[in-house]
Amino acid sequence: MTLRITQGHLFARALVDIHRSLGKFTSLQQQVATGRRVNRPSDDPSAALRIIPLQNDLRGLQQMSDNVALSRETLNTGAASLEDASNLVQRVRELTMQAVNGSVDQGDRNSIGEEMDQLLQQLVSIGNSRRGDRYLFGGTESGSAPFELIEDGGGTRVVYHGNHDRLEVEVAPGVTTALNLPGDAILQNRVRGAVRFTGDTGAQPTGRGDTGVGFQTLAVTFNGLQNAPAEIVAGSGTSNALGAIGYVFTNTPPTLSIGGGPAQPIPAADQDFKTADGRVLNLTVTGLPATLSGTFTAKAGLSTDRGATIADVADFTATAVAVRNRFDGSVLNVDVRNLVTTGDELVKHEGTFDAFTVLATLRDLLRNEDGLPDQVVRDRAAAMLGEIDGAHDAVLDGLRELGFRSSSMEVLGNRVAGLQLSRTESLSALQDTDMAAAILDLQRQDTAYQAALQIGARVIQTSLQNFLR
Amino acid sequence: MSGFGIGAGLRALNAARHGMQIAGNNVANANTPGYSRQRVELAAALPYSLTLGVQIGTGVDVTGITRLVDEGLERRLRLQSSLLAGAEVDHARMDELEGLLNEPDNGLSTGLDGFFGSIARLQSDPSDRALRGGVVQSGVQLAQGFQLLSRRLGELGNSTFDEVRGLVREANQLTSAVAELNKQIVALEAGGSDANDLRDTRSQDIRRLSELIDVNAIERSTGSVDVLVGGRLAVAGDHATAITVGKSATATTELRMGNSAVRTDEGRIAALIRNESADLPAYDARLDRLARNLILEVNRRHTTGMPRSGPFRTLTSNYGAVDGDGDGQRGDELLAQSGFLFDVQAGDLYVSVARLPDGPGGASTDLERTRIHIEPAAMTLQDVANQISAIDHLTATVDPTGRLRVSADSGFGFDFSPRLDPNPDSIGTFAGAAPSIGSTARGPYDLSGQTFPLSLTVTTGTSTLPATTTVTLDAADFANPAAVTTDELVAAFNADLGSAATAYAVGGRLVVRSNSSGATSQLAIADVGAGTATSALGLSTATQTGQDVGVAVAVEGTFNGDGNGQLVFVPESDGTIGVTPDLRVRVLDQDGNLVTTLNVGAGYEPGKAISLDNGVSVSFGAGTISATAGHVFALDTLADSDTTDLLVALGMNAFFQGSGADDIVVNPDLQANVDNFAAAIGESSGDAGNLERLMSLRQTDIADLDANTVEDFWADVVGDVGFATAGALQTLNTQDQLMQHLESERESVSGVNLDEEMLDMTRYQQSFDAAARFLSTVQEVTNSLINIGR
Repeated sequence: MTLRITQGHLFARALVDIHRSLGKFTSLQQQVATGRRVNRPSDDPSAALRIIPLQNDLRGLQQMSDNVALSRETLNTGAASLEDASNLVQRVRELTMQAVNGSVDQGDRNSIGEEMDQLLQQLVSIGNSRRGDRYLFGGTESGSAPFELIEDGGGTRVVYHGNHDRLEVEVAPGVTTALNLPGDAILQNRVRGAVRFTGDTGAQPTGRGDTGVGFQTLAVTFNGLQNAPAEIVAGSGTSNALGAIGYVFTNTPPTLSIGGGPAQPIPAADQDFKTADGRVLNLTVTGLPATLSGTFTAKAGLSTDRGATIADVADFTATAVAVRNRFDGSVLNVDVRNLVTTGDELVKHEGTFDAFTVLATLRDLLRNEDGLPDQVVRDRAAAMLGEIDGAHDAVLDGLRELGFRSSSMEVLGNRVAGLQLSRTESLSALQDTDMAAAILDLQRQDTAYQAALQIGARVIQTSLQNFLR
Repeated sequence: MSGFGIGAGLRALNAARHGMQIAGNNVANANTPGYSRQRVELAAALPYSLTLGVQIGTGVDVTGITRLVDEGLERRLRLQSSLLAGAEVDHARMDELEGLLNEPDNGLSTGLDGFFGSIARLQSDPSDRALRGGVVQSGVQLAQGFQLLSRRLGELGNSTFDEVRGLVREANQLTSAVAELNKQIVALEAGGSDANDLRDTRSQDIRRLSELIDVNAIERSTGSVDVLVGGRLAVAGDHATAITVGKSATATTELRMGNSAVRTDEGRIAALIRNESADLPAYDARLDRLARNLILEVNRRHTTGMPRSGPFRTLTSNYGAVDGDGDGQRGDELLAQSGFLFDVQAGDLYVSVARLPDGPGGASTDLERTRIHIEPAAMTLQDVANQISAIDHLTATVDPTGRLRVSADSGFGFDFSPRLDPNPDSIGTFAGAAPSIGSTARGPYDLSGQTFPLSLTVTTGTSTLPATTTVTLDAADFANPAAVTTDELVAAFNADLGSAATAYAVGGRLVVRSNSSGATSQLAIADVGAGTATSALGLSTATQTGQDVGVAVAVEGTFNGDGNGQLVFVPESDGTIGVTPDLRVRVLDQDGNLVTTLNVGAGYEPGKAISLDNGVSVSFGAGTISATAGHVFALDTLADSDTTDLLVALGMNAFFQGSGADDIVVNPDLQANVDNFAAAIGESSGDAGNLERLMSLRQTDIADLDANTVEDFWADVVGDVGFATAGALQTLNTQDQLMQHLESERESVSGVNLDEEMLDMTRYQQSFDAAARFLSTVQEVTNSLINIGR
């Protein structure tokens, strides 16, 4: 038997078709209304599997983009601080030139010295620059000020309390950058070159194992006698002869001559005895020793911290006597083989600059509390010009590096933005509705729905009853 | 003769009337669900013989009213009903589950991303309090997300029992109805009639039953239908057995008849039971696994981190040991049996103790690190507490609730972080200010050739005022004289040394250090009598003098290697740092193998950092070092300062609490004070070492998550749910189409076509008219016959 079609069948089919039509209509409508093709994972499971990682990726890229912005802001703040530092050092140079000028007197120098003091404080606060409540130049010790200005028995110095650890953040996939800078590398540069002594005591640098920064003053003093006969003791006056000293006594008349110098009558108390080369030993001689001639040693005392720590030199064949500075812990190794007289050596550690010490020294020099002669002050100030330039170069180097890092941040930022764009496109392709296509589909579906309704109505209504009479 | 026509006529009228009535019945029931159209069966009535060989018909007989139905089709329809109803339930449940997940917009993947995102933001400014609060907050939200999802999954599963019970009630009503109908049909058909409408009703009831449970319906010769559910008789004749609902041994829903379980494979109830016992638990287990691993991995990193406030003064664990043996004491069970939520493994726990700074913003000093070896199958929690208490300045107790409480003495703090010791030579055995003499080789040492008791003299003091102490080593001091350990030697030396000097074990070597420092302090060790202990122990017999200031050793950086170890630094020769040409320091690993040598002679600036390849940098200050005097210092390099997971199991300084998706929460201590969040490994305010470790978790493949990262694992689950839901929809559509096809076949066989009935009605009506006319004719003829005699 052929297939019988009943009214029940017709109704059922019509219903099914209408439901199907409406179903498609609804899903299209949702796609257009939300703009999303995939509202739930089951809408397109394989797309959903890719959508979630893409979304996470995008958020990660956004974080990287934020980090790039943060990094640039930090670098720019740092650069602004370094520019301030640079201008400050320029001013220091100007002031030094003024001080070197012969027509400036002590009163003027005093006021220049005061301005130097102000500039020193300012430089410290530049070093302690902050962004928000985070210190920029302290490494990862960003919670407390990295530079501390200390004025005590050891003079004026600035101590760096930060560290050199890096705070790394990701700025592009696989690329990290440090958000912080160690300030001591810029303001207290330590790229060591040679060591120079400027003075005439005869002490020489060794150039090895020194840890001082910038320059120091090595004070060479007379530190007593060694291996001298009991009759010879150091007097209370000033002596400036150092090293091995030969002595010759004469019996009648009783005289003593040291170092080939003129014989002086003895006994003598606190008497200056000269050597042949004009050095002086102040001695108290009580009598004639058993041996009339011999050699004793005038010991030297070396200090870089104004006498707080004195390294005793008795052996004048030593090639490296370590002189420690109690206040900054630095060590200076001195070759004492040619050390002959007391005095001060200006020690310069080339290549290392401590901008703060430059300022402090200039200030102290100009205040001239030691009462040095005018010309000496001017000469020393002139010698400092080189230091100032060095410090300025260090700051400019720092600026240059920051500028370079900032521009590479820009490149990275563009790269991240590009990645963001491509991810967004991929995500959109997977997730978003093609509006034009969806709206066309909607209209088509609408037409189909209406057609189904019309035809269904026609078919259902017609029946034999209409024609039977 | 003439009377016979009336009979035929009457029969004809009867037949036509029945025909019209059947057509009318069909039309009336055209829309009745389950109705099968009926047809009147007509047959010619038996003829009678007029004469021999001549038969005359006697009209039409209505032999019966048949119901047009295809039983095979009915059976297939019942099966399809079960399949379709089951597919509907499957889809509904998967759809609801997908809705609960709320992906990709606001589900767990957003929570996970939020958590890692907040950590990344904190990385850019580790000291920012608001950002730290943000990390804790996102952790809270993530935990809430887990708990909510777990609860909803549970609710969905739990609703199964009630839903099935409602359906079973409906099923029992249907079986009772079928039984009743069986009785009526049997009674009616025994009397010879066709119980067509009753059969339709019964068929419809069985179909509705098959939507709920897959059934097997067998018709008996009596006309009653037996209904089998899972092979058991639910309806037998006029008797219906009730189906009940109960809980199986695994606490899932099951159907029962009497006291034994009944199996159902298709239909609504079967789909619900399947969802409750297999599908939902599978997803629930994966959710739980994710939560558990997240808790474990995050806590592993957090428990070994350093909070903002620096080392701890006191710390109590969140969880305690369970009183397994019921003796009222906690902490005396083996760790493996203490009821911890996470297993404790055999391994090492490194505890660091340091002297706290005097004021805020300083760093702690004198870091001492102790390694505690833990064997969970042989140690109890009390044993661990005792070992911690044995460390200087620490006390550990197990409180009555079984929790471990560790406290440091005033002025000291402790932590479990793997940070590098910034001053590894705090004792001063590497060219310190006080003179020291160390062994030039690591232990164990061979003293088997010596005669015990073995004596050595240790001379301290100054050259003008020396002081001598005698150290006597007895055979009883050592377990094995041929392999004397450094620790045994240290103990034996310190027992006799008094206040003049102290012995230490540094990098596995014996070192004796004078207790007075300075350039005038001296130290010398010599054998007494014929003993050769000094050479057996590798100790120099030359007199050593101290220095004004020892060589300052400083360490910076973070160790980035794998595994835990120790670097031992010894000078290669004697000399002055930064001055002597070719002066080097050898770096050895914990087994004595050379790792690298560092140039600290001429050309090296004292105090400048030298970086080793593993993230560590060391700097040496000015001073004199000596290889002959056995100068040495050791630096612990830790990748994992707790390989045992004891801190995680106890919940000490943990980020999350709980062990699964249903109880994961953020440690209330962190919620109360965000400064307890351990972003750092060291003490600098901007240290983000632990944040790096937490971020690296995002990219780590975890073995228990099928070697996926946490986010990939969850994305897999979401993907699986998506596929399953789409698949269920697909199946539903397919079953629906199949159903429609079968329905239209049934319509074709049993459905009522109104036009057809109209035609039938017209036919029977005409037939009726014709029969009526015939009867008139017969009546006229009869009248004529009667009127012949008039």
